[in-house]
Amino acid sequence: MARPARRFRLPAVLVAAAAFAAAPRRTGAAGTEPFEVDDILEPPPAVELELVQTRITAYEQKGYGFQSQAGPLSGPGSETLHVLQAQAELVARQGERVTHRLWVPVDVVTSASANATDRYYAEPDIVSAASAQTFGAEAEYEISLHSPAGPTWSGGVGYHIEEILNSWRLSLRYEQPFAEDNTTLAVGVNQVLDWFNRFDLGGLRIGRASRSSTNLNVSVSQLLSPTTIVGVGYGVTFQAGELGNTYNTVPSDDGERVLEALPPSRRRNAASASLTQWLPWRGSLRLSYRFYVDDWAVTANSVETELLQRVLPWLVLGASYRYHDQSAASFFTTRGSAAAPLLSADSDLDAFVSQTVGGSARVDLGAGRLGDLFLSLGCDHYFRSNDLRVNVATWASGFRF
Amino acid sequence: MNRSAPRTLRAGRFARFARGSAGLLFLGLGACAVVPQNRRARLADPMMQSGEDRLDAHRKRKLYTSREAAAGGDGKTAGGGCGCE
Repeated sequence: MARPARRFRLPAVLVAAAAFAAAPRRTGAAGTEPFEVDDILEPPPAVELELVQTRITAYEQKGYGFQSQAGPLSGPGSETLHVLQAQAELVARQGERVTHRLWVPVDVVTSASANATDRYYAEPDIVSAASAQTFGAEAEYEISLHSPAGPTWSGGVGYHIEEILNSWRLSLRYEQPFAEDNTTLAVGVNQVLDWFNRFDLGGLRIGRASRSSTNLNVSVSQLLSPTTIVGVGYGVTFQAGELGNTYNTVPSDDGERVLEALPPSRRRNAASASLTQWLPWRGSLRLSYRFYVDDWAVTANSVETELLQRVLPWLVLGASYRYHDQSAASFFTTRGSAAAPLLSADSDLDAFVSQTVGGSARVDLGAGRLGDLFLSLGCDHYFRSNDLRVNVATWASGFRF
Repeated sequence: MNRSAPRTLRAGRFARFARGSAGLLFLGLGACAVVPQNRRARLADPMMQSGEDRLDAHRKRKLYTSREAAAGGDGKTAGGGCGCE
């Protein structure tokens, strides 16, 4: 049955080739130049800037935790810390379907706990190091491909570097609108690989450690009315490898200190729901709730609310509040022994209640020579029941084109 | 007995978590109102676009993920940074 078909196909190809060869050679408009590629294909759409913005944030932390060695052997050590974080973001659009995003955050941390020195192979001082500094930087690129009334695919790569840590990040996200954009489903997967120095109790580097984090998340947002948006989300993260920073310590029974020992893996689950409501007096209210549970026996509930109010056409003021309640990890202790298979005195793994109050102001200065200029100011005060307080001040500016 | 008790506790916690998640998802999907395009002016206001400013979202995330064991695990990758996320 296949043979007759082959007989006819060959002559057809030959005829087509002969016709192509015999056809007069087409030339350009002048009659002498051959066609350029641009004469046949559409030129690629130009890349146009959509957003350029920078943000600087300062964190001032004070408090005490039993994992820190900056204090008495058997007591809590200082967690005093200052962070200056600068971020820059550039978003560009290429035609109707492609968006590029480049993001570069840089952190400068002054730390009273474990730290590295300026020389790579020098021993870090993890006992006092009151004035040491750590520098961290990251670069992340993301490309999004939109199709009209169809899905949006986004892919991203990132690299993070600190004096004692390298980290690589890959992400993929799929977003599908339904019912005339009333409902949006998003599915994302992220993979992070960390590679960092391992330290002994005295602060000597004793090799390298690694950690893998794989995250899968699903979220749905839904328009409920012309003034109401709700959203739900669920995320699961699997971590494996060295899950501590290797220099946290635990006061021991004999009056000394031993290194923290954490499980080699962790499975984390988080579900959240949010509601954003337009308010008739030109404001908006956002409420969100998040439930978290993991296999280290940490369970948490977080409630957050944010109220925004447009007081002038170019000025929006905001106020926010967050309440967080979490239980301790099953192996948390403030006094352990070296024989214990798992132990940690990290105050972040303790049971505590934390609260955050914040305020913000955003100024839209309208169309300037370059674009729509905007400025943003904000501050937060974070405090929690196990002796930790953080003051945050942030300032942003940018152009929207 | 000592080994099975934590597992039972954990299984119960995950079961409650799964039920809660399903309930939240049902709440979101069940409300399938259709808002026409010409009635979305208020929804398009920047005040209604939470999470639009990714730099602000990052600095908030940084505040929590490096200080709370229960932060992260919900769409933002854990790991990286100081190793405490």
